[in-house]
Amino acid sequence: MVFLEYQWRDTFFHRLNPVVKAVLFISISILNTLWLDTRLTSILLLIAIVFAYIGKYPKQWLTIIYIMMITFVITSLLILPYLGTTAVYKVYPEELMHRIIFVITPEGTPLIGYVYLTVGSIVWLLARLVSIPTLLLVWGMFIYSTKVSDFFEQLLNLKVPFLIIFTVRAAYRFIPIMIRKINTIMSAQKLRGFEAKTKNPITLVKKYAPITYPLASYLVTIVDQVSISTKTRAFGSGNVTILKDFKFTISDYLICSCSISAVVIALYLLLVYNVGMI
Amino acid sequence: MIVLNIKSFRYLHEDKLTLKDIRLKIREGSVTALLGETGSGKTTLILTLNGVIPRYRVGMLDGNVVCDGLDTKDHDTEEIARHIGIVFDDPTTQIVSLTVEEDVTFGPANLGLPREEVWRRVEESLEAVRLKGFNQRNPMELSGGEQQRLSIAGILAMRPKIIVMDEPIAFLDPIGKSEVLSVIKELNEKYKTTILISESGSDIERIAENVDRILLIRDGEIIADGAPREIFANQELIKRTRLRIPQVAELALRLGISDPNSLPLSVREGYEYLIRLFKKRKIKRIVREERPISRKKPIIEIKNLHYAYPGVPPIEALRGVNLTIYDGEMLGLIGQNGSGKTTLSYILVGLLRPTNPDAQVIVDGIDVANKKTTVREIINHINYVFQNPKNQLFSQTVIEEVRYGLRNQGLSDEEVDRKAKEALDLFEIGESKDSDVESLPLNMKTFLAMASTIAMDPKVLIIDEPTTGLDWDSSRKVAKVLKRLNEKGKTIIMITHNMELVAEFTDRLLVMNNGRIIMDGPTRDVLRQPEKLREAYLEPPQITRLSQIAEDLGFPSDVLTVDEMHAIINKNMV
Repeated sequence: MVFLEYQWRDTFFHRLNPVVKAVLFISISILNTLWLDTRLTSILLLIAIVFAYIGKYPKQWLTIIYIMMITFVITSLLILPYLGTTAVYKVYPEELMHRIIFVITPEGTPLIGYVYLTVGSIVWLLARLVSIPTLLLVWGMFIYSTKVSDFFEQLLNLKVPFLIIFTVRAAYRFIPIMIRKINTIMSAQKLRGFEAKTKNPITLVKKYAPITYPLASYLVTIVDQVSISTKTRAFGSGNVTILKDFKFTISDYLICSCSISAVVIALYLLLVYNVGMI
Repeated sequence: MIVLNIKSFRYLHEDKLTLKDIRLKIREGSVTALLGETGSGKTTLILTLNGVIPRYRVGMLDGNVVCDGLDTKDHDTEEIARHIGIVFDDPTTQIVSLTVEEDVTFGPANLGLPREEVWRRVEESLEAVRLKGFNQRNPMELSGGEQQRLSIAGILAMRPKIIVMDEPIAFLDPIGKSEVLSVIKELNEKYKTTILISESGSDIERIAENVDRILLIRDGEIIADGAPREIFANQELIKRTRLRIPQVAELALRLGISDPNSLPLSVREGYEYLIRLFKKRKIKRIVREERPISRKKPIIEIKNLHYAYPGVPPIEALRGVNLTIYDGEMLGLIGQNGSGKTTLSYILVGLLRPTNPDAQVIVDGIDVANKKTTVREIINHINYVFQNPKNQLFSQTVIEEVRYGLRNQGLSDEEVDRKAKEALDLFEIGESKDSDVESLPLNMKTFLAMASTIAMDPKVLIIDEPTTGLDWDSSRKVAKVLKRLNEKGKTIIMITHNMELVAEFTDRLLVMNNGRIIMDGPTRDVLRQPEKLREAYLEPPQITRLSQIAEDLGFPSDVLTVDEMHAIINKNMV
């Protein structure tokens, strides 16, 4: 299965100008990050789901969203109790948000202290739980529907320095490489009797430990080798040929201006009227 | 023109000198081969040519290197790259982009060429390496051979004045090797491109036919420099360096050829030599004893096996494979790059499962096609050694690597140690058991990858391209170990492009093409059909081709080794 790599399909998003797509998705991401109101982040999630449906988002990639959600819930549960005293509440009455609904450790508990859950921390968690799949969906959509070369060619057209483009491109290339490397190492380990089936997290960590060494060593080696490779192919030796022209259509301008306007308006409403805050 | 004036080079943190007293000139428009065993200093020498050494591979370089008028000490690698293109031995390190087409454009686009010229060169280069139509494929999804062709295309498209290739054809199928070399030759003739090719010996026939000068390197020193015939005729030198020479040259030398200038290097020259030698005499008709393949019970049975990699449209890798392999066979699985050999192996060990529900894959009585059969169960019966040993090694030290699988088998500490020692001893690498895996040379890594799988004692062993990148000595060592295991009752499936090895060591050959098995029979019978082999981009070893072209002299068309040819001539010339 190909994860986090471009896949050819004939959909609206595949045809959309890569830079326009980036502007659209960056706008959604900004709103998604700023807003803590679950009602608003739910709207963004809904938009992301519609985009995923139109763009025929690969079902297998949803696994990544499940894994990230589980990881987030676990880590949130660990830090959530400490969110009880944060001063992020600007809309709802502070008394309500600071109202304790569950005491985890009573006052005077050694080391940990007084730890409790408040209404505010639960509301915060809800908003974030909705915003994570939105982010993963839109950026998954971007990776899956955008030919990287087209995106970077377009940036070249926009006179973005090639060094910056190449650095981003190289980083982008490493994601699938690392996923493949992990798969290969795990296949090699499976062929030597490795089985991860265990419910004990310590055993699980121990079992996966052998992956870390070859992976780290591979990462260092490949970064070094690819950087040498690029130099031996004249990277950085002069002007670079722009291989394709991209022209903005009216709909491209429209999507860009709508996206940017939405962010500007949302920022204004947020800063002045606390719209989107909790 | 390349001018090397290196007094010495030593890598940082190493005591030993890697290069010593290398003073030579490679003239413009020449085609030169740099021959040497694995670890002899070939790659290090090549990396000095564009300044990667000592700039990025840090060390003490005493001397200077001038390429096309640029002293590597005064110019950056990227600047020198406009004049000299280097193809690395491991293609995965050379590929920098996410599609085939994009990767080939990378070099010429960096040169700032006009857009139309870049696209024209991309098309030409992809066609030259037989990758036309692969433009939008992801390089990471290509087979090892296809990746190597892509890295060659990337350099060809830059049209540098000097092209240096570090073992450029190691991963390629036999016809692919010839094609790439003919493209290089064409570049040399058309544009007067200076070519330097390094080679460790396995592909010596093809290299010898295409170069006009050989540099022999050993322990970092150039120990011989001359025309191919002159070098190959020096038997004392060849013996000392343990390098293989072209089979026809070896035959002629054994038959006592005295004039080095008439030493044959190609099949055609070999035939002409035989005609001169025979002077109208002929070979007595050879009647071969029928030696039917001993077939015990089937150990692998495959019926209607299909596999398609996901994609739009899906990439069909196997298209209805039907096959029976018998217990105790020593079998060669050959075919062009991307023909489905590795996919078939992955299915046999359970890393992939058939994509058609009616496929039947039974290995030693267990149903491998059934998703409920775990890889852990399967590997007690059959196991697989990866094509690139770097993909298989994940432990820090040699001994830990071999112990890993044995521990997972639940063996006692004594058993683990005993079996690990036995496996390491098979390849004579027991003394390096505490060495760091990452620092091992390629041949040692290959031995270790094999040892760690053999230690687990599967009944069937699949070895994918075990000799790629190895010198002839190491390749034979691998083949001999496999033969020994086979004699002890193991079923061995050797996937390889090394036709000399399959000819010498296997009893039966399976030829794959485009996801299907197109030939299956005793090695001798399969190699007797060059036309059909050509469909799968394969060709018999040079000595077999010589016997085929020399049928009019009475030779059988299926001679497999130089020893056999020599014996036939000695015993049967009338």
